[in-house]
Amino acid sequence: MRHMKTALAGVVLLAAFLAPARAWAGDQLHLTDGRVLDGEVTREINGYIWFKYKLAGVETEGYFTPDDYEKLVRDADAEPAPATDDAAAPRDTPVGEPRARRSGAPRAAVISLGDVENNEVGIYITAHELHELIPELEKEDINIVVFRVHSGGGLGLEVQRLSDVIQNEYKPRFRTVAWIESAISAAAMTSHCIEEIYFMPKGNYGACTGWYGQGTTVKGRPLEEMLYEMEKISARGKHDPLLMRSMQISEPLSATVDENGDVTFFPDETSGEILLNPEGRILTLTSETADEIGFSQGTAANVEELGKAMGLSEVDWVGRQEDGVPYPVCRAEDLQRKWRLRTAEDERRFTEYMLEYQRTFAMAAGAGDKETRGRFAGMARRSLQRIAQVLRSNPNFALLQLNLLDEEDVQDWLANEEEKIRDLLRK
Amino acid sequence: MKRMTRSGRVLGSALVFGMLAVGPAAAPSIDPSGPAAAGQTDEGELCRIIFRSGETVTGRIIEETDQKVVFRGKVNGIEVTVPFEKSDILKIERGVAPEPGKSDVAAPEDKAPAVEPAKSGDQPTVYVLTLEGQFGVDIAYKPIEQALEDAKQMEPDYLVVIVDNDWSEALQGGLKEKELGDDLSKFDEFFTTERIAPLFAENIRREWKKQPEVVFWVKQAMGGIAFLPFTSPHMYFESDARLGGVGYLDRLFGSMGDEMFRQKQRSLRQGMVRGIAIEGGYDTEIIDALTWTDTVLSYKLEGGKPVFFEREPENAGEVLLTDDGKDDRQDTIEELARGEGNDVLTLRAELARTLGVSDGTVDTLDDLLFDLGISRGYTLLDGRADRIMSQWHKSIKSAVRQLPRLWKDYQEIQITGADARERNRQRSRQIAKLEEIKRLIQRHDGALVPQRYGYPGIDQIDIMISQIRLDITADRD
Repeated sequence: MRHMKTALAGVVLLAAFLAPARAWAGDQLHLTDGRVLDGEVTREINGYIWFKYKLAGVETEGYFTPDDYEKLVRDADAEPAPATDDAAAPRDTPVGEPRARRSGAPRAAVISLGDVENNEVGIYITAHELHELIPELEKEDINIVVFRVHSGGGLGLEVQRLSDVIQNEYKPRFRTVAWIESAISAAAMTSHCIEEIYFMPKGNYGACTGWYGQGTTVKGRPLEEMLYEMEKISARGKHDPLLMRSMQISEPLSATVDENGDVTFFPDETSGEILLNPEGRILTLTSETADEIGFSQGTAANVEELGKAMGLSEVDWVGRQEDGVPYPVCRAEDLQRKWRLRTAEDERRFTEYMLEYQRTFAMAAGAGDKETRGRFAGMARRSLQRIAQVLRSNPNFALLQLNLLDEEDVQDWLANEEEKIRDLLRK
Repeated sequence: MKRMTRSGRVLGSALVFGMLAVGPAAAPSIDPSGPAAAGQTDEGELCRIIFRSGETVTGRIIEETDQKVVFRGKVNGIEVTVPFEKSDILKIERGVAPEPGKSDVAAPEDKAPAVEPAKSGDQPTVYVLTLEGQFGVDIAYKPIEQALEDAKQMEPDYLVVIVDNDWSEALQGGLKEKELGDDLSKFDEFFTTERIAPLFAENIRREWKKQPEVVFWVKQAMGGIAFLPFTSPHMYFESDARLGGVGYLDRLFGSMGDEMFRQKQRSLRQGMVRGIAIEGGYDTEIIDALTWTDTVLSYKLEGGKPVFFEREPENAGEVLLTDDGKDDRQDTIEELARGEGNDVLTLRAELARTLGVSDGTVDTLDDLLFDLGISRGYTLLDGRADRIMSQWHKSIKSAVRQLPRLWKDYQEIQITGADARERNRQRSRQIAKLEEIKRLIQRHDGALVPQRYGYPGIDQIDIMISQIRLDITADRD
């Protein structure tokens, strides 16, 4: 099965802010894989091109890095595209190289998905929080979002939600990049919808086997559903599904890289020239193996190296330097970091919050006089409000701590508890 | 074998970036026109700006954006208004008090950092940090962080890290004089290494003004600490050193759960430790042989450098490093007792040198420095590392003694007062004692694990405190 390494860096949904009134008509984009696309350039930044064309009769828009194309031929009769904030290249500018900008370098933000201390997917990495960050990123006029991934995995139920937020909300708005320090299990599955993936030298990615309890792996129909879910997510990221499959189940994998850099994967040990996963094992990629098979677009130890690996001659890493943080911290990242700390505190103390609520409620119920009952009922209500606040900040706590499946269940539970407090006060 | 592969190049370029940080003397151009209209602020509070270069200035920030600040104050005795890039700034301390005898707009502070960087003419400077004792207890994140902060201030040319961890039977309640064997595995101590390793790698690259040559000198690196020297491209061994104690990863989790669950757990660990080797510029085959029993690895020397084969030796000159440990190839008790097993790899000085993992075998610091090419003279910096590590060791020992005493004190506080006031005073004493236990645990940052001694951890203590507070609220006369 062919793995189209970088030919189509990302087919993205047409975003409102990308829709200029006028565009080049009848442009031709000559891709490095030999294909020629007919369509129109809708936006250009530093050699990165948003290109509208028809794919199997369906109008779509893709975005292409300078590495993805050899040349761009423009229709001489067409009217020039309107200038954007980031300068469009003059017609005689050779394509393929990042161009000088008329104003401002692209603005990039690093958003951490986990850190050494707090990194569980579903607890410290949630779709809800990523969704909440988007307005902040837009306020900071961010063009590029780099997800710096450091996570040992977590809840499988969050993978599809995270993938949806990244695919449907981030990719249309930002050039979206994953930068892998450690992406194990659900963290790798989350990152997998992203086309543009870079590794840190020590980076690792894989070991996605689903399990529960005392090490029982998911089997049967649920396993088939997980495999299918990840096939679809692999397609979002333009990754060969065999790769993720060998990370999920003990299926061997080998690969051959041809002279054009195209990679063919084989679900056995011997057909490919590179043995990636022996029989009976689960695959985890390192920066070296990821680079060898073109899964990683480059290896970068810091943001300066990452910018170069991304082909950016100029980039504005938005944010301020903070002690002990190896990248500038923008406002959205600052929120993300604070939210993780708050979540850690909530996670650590949730049992305490619940016990406090139950105890104050019981004290109110057992109080002999109305005044004492009212005082303890007030305390119970404050405890309940704190619990509600935690559940709002991190909806997965409802499932993990209270076995409440969704928002409706949470609201029902809170309303019921509130009603019980009111009943006490009516006594 | 070390490679100058991609990882090596990455390290090289990172060094260059690290040195690009520019302090106030070189960075700013003086803007005589004063603050720009846009984003201008009122004369702000007195601030101290600490640059990544280590230099500081004190004055007022009169304008600030995400990218820069415009500073007004005195530099070299001249009052200036200067823009500074925030990327050059490590920290801005706002609201600092004016120093006595100085004007409100203060002159620049002494540019020397808190500890004077070593000045030794042309002689290279050497800072030594010794990591000895029990890994995860004596050798822990916090004292290492403090020692490296001290080293950073002294700006050494060479940072020599001596690794000599305890691998005696005392760790298992036995004799201190008796060493544990090579076949004991403490692979999961890697998760302690994972936390400590960045202190020696990316933190130095990012935060040290002057980049030292980090050299690990292995005397004993057994258990999870075995991976730590791989963070640097420069490793030396003492004659009787050994590095290992992380084998049998393929047997980790024993019979727990399904085979695929166990394979997942092993795979992710292997990916992580391979990553450390790649970052340091070492071949991952060495890591596989150290950790995985059924890795069959042979080598032969070509031009003095080893070439690895993942199979039994087939040709003359090929040497078996590790076999698959199966059937009659499983290490015997005689081999294990003599440290001669080959199911997993334990690196000793000669083999480490042959495989290119070690740069040389040295038994004294002088020998090491000679081998590093600085024999003609060097200055050994009088750093605080030994004191920091020694104080930490004493503090941990003391904490282990204090913990049962504090717990006993807490338990002895009986709630027996005749009235609520008295009972609640006793409860307050309970809370104070629990808070004291909590502070003791927090002060020792993960190295003091109370559950190991049968006492509650911080989470449990918080719950206890919360419940006692409710008792106080409920107990009214």
